[in-house]
Amino acid sequence: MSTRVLVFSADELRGKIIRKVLDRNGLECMFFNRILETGDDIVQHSPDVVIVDTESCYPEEINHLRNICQTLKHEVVIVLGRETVIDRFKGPRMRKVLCLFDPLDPELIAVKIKETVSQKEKKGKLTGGDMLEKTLKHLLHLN
Amino acid sequence: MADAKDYDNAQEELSTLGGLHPTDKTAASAAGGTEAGRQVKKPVATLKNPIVNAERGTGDDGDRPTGPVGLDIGTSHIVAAQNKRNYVHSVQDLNAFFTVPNEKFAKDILSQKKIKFYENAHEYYIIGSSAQSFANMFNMNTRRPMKDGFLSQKEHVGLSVIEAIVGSLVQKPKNFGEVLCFSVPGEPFGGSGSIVYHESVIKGFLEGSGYTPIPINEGMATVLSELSDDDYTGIGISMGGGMCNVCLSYLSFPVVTFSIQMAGDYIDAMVGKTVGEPAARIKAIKEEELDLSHGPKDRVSTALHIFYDEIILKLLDSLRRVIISTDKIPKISTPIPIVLSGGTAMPTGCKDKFEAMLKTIDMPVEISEVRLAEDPLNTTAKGALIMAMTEAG
Ligand SMILES: Nc1ncnc2c1ncn2[C@@H]1O[C@H](COP(=O)(O)OP(=O)(O)OP(=O)(O)O)[C@@H](O)[C@H]1O
Ligand SMILES: [Mg+2]
Repeated sequence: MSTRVLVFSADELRGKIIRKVLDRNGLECMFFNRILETGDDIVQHSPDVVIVDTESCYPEEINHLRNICQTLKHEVVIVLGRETVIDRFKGPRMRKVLCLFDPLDPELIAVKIKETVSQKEKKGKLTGGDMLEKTLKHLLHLN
Repeated sequence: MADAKDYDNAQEELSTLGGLHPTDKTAASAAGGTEAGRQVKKPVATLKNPIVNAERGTGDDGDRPTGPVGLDIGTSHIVAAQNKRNYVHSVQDLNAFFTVPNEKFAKDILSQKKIKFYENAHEYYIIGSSAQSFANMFNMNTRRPMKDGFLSQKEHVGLSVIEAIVGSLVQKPKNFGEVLCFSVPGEPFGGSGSIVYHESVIKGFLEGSGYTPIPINEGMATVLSELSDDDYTGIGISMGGGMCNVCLSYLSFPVVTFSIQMAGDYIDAMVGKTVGEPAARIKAIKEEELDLSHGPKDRVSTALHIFYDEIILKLLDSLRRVIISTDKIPKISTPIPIVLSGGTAMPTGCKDKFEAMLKTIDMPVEISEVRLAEDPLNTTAKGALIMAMTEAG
């Protein structure tokens, strides 16, 4: 099964560019630009990777994205944007996320996703059984 | 927004039309005037370079192409491109008009000579290249609906003239809501003009004609037309009459667009002022004789070289500054091409001059090469057609 990626970006151009490059790299990618509905979209699509782009976000949207990142347990999370903004996604009580600073580098994002997902698979976190369960849950909209 | 894969489909559709086409004998005759001599026809020979051009004016509706339309509404020319049986048909006319008083004998003459015109309560509006012939006859200048890339503030009838010229080039759609992509300029770099106003009034009249109008940035149209082999990644520059339009595209996404309001008209006016000749005469010399690959031979060509240098330098400097100051450009790992289109890019040696001047600029993105578009006067309309075909699905 291919890796499922959700991209959240308030900047439509950036979101579409990321989606296109990830698609070309064989990653199944969806793009959403309604930031405040991020939570629902994640529940509905149960992705392996969540990309949150902080560029062009209002402060309230950034807070929302921070909170969402805290709640994600199993997904790989990648945060994009300017260094000063991304710093707000770091901290002792924050979940560890992968940060990629601007300028946007879609090819690097693809490389990082592939690296991280394969590491995760090697560690056995996504075993065959897990994958099957995840796929079924996704199909039945159970999670 | 459509992406590169979709545009490739439209390109393929155009190119699989294939084969040589018969000479379109009906073309090029009716418009009359000087511009009618600009008919160009090329065989559909190479993949991805399928556009064949034919020019014609009003009348003769039976065999016109149908389907999506690419429309370039430029300061100097209006060009429409459509898919027609085994080739793509593009027609063009001058974006100009000339008025004569509303008298019976004038109407008879205009009608007999098959001149494009329309009338209001007081005047006949002679439009397109016929306007140029009349202006020459009376030793006057044509009036122009657009200036520096936008609808002219000076000409209140400008929009209705454009409407009439478009109506003479493109039939009303067979299917209501047919997709039509029309070119719009980029935001002027340090200049003036309202894109929002320009775009929405043009959109309004096209909607009224039964189309679904979609705007496309002129630089982006150049990219769609010319950079399919480069994954639509590169810089398209359309050097026209009123402005030069620039678009940096990444995988078919227009990440940076802008314009400068200096192009062919500026050259004509500045050279004219410098040497004390009318701009119209300079324009004729420029179009017929200018060779930028050799040193100037007289006062006029010296001035033409100087103002070409000025425009190219201004283009390159503003491109450098816009790229430096934006954070919108993704990291691009390989050097990208620049493609030049538009009438002002046409003189021999223009591309080489551009390339030589580029070498003196510290450009923040690496450039692989500079190219001239296959058919510079029709590039924007072709790009708009590709977009229209993609949007129409
Ligand atoms: N062979 C030529 N050599 C030099 N200049 C030319 C030649 N042919 C046309 N031009 C110039 O090109 C300009 C018109 O180009 P074009 O038709 O691309 O402009 P446009 O699309 O109408 O204008 P714009 O895009 O600026 O609104 C005019 O200034 C004309 O004098
Ligand atoms: Mg143009």
